Amino acid sequence: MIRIMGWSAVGLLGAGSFGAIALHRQEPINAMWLILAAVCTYLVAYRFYSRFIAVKVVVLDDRRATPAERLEDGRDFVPTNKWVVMGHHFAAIAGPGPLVGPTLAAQLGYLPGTLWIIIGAVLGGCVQDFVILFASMRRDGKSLGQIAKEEVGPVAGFTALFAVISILIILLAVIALVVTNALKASPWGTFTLAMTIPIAMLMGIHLRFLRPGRVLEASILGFVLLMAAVVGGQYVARTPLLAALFTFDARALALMIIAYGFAASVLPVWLLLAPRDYLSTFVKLGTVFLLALGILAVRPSLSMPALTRFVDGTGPVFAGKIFPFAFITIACGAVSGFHSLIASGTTPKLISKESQARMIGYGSMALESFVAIMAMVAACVLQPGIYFAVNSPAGIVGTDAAAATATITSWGYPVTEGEMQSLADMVGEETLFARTGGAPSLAIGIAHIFSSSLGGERMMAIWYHFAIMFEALFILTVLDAGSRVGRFVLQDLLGHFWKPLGRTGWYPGVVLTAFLIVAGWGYFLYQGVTDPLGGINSLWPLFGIANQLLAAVALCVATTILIKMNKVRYLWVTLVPMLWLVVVTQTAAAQKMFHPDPRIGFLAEADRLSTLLQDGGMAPEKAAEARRLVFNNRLDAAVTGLFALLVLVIVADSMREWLAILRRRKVAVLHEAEYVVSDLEDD
Amino acid sequence: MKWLRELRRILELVGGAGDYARYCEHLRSRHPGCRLPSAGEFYLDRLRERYSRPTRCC
Repeated sequence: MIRIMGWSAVGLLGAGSFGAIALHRQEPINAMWLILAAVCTYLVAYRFYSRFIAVKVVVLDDRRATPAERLEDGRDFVPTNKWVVMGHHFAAIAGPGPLVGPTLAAQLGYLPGTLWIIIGAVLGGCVQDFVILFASMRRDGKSLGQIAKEEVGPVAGFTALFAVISILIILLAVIALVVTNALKASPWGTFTLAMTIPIAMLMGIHLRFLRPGRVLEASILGFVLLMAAVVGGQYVARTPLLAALFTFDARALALMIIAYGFAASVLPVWLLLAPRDYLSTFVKLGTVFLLALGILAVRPSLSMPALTRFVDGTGPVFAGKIFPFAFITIACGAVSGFHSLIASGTTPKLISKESQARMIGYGSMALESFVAIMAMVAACVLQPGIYFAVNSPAGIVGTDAAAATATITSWGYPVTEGEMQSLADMVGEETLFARTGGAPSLAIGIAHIFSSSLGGERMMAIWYHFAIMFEALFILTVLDAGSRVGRFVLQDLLGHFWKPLGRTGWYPGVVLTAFLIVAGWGYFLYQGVTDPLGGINSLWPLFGIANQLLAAVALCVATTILIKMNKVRYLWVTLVPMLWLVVVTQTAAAQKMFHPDPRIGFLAEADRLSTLLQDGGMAPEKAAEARRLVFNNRLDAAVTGLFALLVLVIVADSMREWLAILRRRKVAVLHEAEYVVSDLEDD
Repeated sequence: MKWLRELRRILELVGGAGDYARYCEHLRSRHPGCRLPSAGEFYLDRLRERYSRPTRCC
């Protein structure tokens, strides 16, 4: 009885919060309504929907031994406490994506993004993570690619592998672009991030030779040094001689990041990648926790309206209407296909009881969705004028401050040069105009929330650079780890054609494949920094499409498994989010390729530029740049087309399999591991 | 101090460093006579496993 009343109260509170969101239209709304609506939805969805999936759809069975129990070997397969596994899984899935996506989507107003984050997560993202985790757990921790191969067929398996590499390349390019944009012309930020390299190496040596495996200890040491670097950056920025050493434009930064990425992916992991990964994991968990406390303590009002005028598709941050672009701009935080790779990796090998997959899979994703809500709040506490001044590329609002503020004010979001300059001074930056990519405006939002509760305005600069460092730190970690994984997948793939390339110990093969992967994302990164519209404009949608397509693939595999498990009655659980993602991504892909508006369609932009070129009269260097842009736009269109095609292949291949089974032309064979009765006690 | 050590162990597991003591325990009970790896060897072995697959997300 008390339980029913409790859940009714949670439900009512959630419904009331949505009501409050619906009624606040013209006046500022307090962030707490968004937070409450989100948290109540997660609680109700977790309690009822995830339970329904656990009990009725996938039928978790605690009497069945998990791979951690059956194959226990003390290192890969270890039955582990469920809270530890959840922490581990959450740390693995939460990256820069759920912070950046909502920040960019805030250009539409807080409402579309917030609703998609909440609804997309409970009906899509959490379901995907949970079902894939379940599927991998029943198959001894096999990867998504292997599961696709066994359950759907070799075509789907190979396509999935190929899709993973292409998606990885775009993903790495776009997050590298986010860092580049955050650090350009910022000696403070560049110095801090540069310092993370010797700090990580110091930690690496400590962990390898002095105190092996004591990662917490090394991370505390690293964190102290890191904070010293954040504070010391202020001194660097104020000393002209030192500042000049750490001031770079976007092109130079991009080239340095590419060189760094190559070095990091061939160096031993213990030296650089692993120690920084530990450091960034703990900093990330700590900062997310602090941000939640900060928002609860400050309870800020949102200055951004519910809907801005840019719902019409003319936004400066990215072009295109709410449908489909809000849904691909926010991938991580709502549905992220990449999670299916994590859920079919280490996590399933640690689970001690099947029923825990619900909390670990569904619960962790709900938590990540909450991180995305916090990012949305942090972006929307800024005055809209300031938000647009920071996030609009110079190619749209003009390069000089007077022109930019005039344009943005004329949109109905007033901002002055004086305001922008005093904000820049306050956070210790030269300028905050056209700092696209989401990281700087998120850092201002976080600094605003943190300094309101701790330290006041004097601390604004330190908090801002802490936030930039925090984002850059784990973006570089993803960059290193991603390049390395990309290398392994590529070696695996190329090994089919020529054996020696598949050997991870053969040095020329390692260098060649590492070079191919880094050259791949490096090309798109360089394309981004030389793009007059800032690159985020074209690359972020490409990344969103790629990530959501991977989610569609994962849900397609999940649907196949449900059919084989004879759960046709509950097929909508995975089929509906899958169809939604297929529709969203195919629409977005089609618009990115063929939309007549050159700001949206890659081919329209290429045509516009080549017409300009044919008309002649361009200065030679302008013409050379235009020719390059024509090529890049056509390349982006081709990549988009390839992504769309890959998914159609997988969906078609799966549907063939579904129909064969449903029409009983084929016997459904499920490739689960053997059923062994569990001896483990519940913990 | 016992809870502090436990907290450290939990955070190390969350970070993905594996549990060396537990591995030794496992080897001693299931494979008696088997040579125990040093903490350094175990650490490197965990890293090899960890970075050969996607472990960090966007």
